[in-house]
Amino acid sequence: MDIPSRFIADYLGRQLGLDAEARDVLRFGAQNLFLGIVGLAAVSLVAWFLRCLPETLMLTGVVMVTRSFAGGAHLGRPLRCTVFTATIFPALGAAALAIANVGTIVPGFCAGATFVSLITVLMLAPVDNPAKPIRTGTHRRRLRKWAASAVVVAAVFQAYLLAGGLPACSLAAATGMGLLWQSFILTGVGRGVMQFIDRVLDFQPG
Amino acid sequence: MRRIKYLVLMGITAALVLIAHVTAASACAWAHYQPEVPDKLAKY
Repeated sequence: MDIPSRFIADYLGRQLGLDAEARDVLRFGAQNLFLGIVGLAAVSLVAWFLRCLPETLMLTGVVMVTRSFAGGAHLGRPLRCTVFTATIFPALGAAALAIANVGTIVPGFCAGATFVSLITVLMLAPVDNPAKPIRTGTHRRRLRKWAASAVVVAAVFQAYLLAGGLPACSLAAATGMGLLWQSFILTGVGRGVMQFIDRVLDFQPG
Repeated sequence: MRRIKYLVLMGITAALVLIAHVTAASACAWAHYQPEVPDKLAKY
């Protein structure tokens, strides 16, 4: 992801006469854009094969929004991140679909996921990392408030979906699954799991 | 033609700058990887 981002930033910098600092900003923007596009494409492809595309896209959207405010654990390399995301999100989408097939437990699952998510966000968010530290207490408090608001909005959306009846039931379960995954990666256990995956995949041959 | 190319490049640049600022102001990137934030955006 770094090579095309650097290429685009350098090209734009040359054409528009931008300095090194401005090129760094462009490179950062391009990296985030490419990560998003490639990640979403990989997730969608795997989910389509597993026949759980709507559920997976729903929970990906929930995680995207809540993660922007709450933060969470990260992996050390972009490719690792893409492979991991394309594995775990469709798996969670398939799990949401399985839960929705046992229709009666969906409202309870959604309520439980919202409760767990709200408590976790209020206690732990925002979780930053060395590549992007949160520097001020004001910013930290603001992000926590926004993260909690995002969970509340997701809960209202879940209620709306549940009121819609059976076809929307799996999407409500997917929303709950997204909230639970986001809560998990805020916790110490979640960060430990991600560090473990990073260490396992960091194997250098020779 | 040169003017159109300039406008297109300016549009792409503006979009990338916007994405960079929005991501820098949030807690982290949505994906499971966080690119290093440039010094110019460290104010967030």
